[in-house]
Amino acid sequence: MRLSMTSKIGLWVTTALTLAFIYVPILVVVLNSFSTSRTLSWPPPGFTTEWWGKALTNAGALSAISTSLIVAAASTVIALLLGTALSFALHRFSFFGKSTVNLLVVLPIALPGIVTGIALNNAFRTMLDMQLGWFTIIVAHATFCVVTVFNNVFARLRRVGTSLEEASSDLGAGIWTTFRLVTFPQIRSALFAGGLLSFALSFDEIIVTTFTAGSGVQTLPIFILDNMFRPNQAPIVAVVAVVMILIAIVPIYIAQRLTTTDNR
Amino acid sequence: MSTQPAIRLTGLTKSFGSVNAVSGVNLDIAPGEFFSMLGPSGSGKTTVLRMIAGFETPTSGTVELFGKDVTKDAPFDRDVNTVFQDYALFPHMSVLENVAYGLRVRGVKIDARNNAARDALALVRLEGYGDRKPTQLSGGQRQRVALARALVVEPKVLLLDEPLGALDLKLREQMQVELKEIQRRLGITFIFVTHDQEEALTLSDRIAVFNEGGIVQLGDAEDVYRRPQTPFVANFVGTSAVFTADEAKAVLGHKGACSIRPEHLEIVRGKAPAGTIGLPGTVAETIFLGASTRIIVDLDAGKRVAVLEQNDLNTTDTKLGTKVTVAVYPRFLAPLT
Repeated sequence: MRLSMTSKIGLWVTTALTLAFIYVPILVVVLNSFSTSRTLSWPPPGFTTEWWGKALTNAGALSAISTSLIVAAASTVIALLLGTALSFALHRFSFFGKSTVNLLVVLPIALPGIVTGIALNNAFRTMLDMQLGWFTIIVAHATFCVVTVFNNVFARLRRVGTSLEEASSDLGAGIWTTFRLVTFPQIRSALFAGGLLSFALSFDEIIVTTFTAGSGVQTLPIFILDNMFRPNQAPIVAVVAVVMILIAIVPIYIAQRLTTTDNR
Repeated sequence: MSTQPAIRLTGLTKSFGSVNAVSGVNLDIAPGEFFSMLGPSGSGKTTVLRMIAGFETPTSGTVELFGKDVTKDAPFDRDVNTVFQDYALFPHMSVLENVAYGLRVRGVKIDARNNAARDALALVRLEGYGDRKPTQLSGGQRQRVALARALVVEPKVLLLDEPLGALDLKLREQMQVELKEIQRRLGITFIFVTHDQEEALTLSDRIAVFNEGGIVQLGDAEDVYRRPQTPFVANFVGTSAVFTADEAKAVLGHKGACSIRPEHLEIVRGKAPAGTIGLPGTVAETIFLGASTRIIVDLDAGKRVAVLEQNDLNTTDTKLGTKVTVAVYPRFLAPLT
């Protein structure tokens, strides 16, 4: 399509402004993590690496980071197992209530986090009489992580179809051999992309976490929220935020690379 | 037949919901036969093939392979292999790995299976292509890989599901010759599904014409072409002028419904030759086909017929609206049941 010079300039400006609006504040957080000001005042009066040193030895921050990594890893593993099983069930078989199951599986990602949070909090504490902690956070995160894996794998199964598996079976391979040699290699990158997205989703989740974490376990987002307005903690929060940005960007970048190479 | 049939289908039926895709097919296919299932899409031929391969379970009826009932066996337990319409090559494997796959899952050591795969590639004239990925091949080459992959495990019966459908005309004609050669050389039973009547006539020892889930006619190419038994066959395999019993009586003075091929009609000037039925009419349309011309004639008796005239030295000059006589040779009238 050909565009006139004016509309080209207009589009460029709009794009630049939109991207600036999204990324300048993030850049400010990165700068603040090196600021000499204790209250994140703007512009930064000077630069120092003091907060990075402090943050990286801060027991609360470190334990929050490891908690978040463990929770994200555990809920991703659950999501991979359940999401894959679900997508195979919904793609390969027809059974009573199939479309209902399909809807119910995808719904958690659309439900407001606060509703999921309240509901799970209630269920865990009053109905199941459980202590809130590691287990409840991981289960809560898995409810929406399953969706990302399911979506990725289901879309892949649809695209690949069943003819490759028929060919494999026709050539004498049993069900497991076919899965190992044909099906799995076909869905591997979808599993990887779904897993990474699910990891990133769990890693920065705060609403559902607030309702299911109890008082003993602190994930990174909760640590940040708790410390943001405490005296002298603001620069440490900025450092932790930068760490989060890094941990979140890498998987998303890899996931996107994977999907684009697949489409080629 | 003295020998045991390679394939015996008995009362084979497949319903999807309330729809009968295949109903009550009985069929014996001899070892070493090149057998075609010919029919329009939705006629049930592919479903029959998939039931022989084991991808579909019959609603009722049985499939026997050399006397052994395999109706309930999984595809990987059957000694038949399939060449798929879309080839179904494994995209993450090289051509050699694709061809060697059937031997790999049978536990054949890597050197032995790669050698066998190279031989199979040579058989389909693709030496030296082993290291490529399927995506780097043309349609015709993929087709050959699919053939080599199915042949390498030495099946007793090879099923081919419209294998040439995606190829252009020249390539298709070349592959037809090669398929026939390979089949003759290896002596395997080929079951070939196609909707292309010319392909079926060219290749097959016998043809089963399918329509609406059943076999409407079974015979060799000449049988099916020269003596179509139903109006459907008369017009699906080639084209014919079809006369109902009443029309035959009124127009031809012939008893019983019948059909006749365009190439068995002749346009004559003046009186029809002795022993023929002369039908006066008017030329309604002429279609030039190169070596021949198709002339559509509206008979005065109120029937439209097509005449295929060779463009040889004796071509008659037939302009639109010309009054002509169509000569019918009664021995070419094929009775319909």
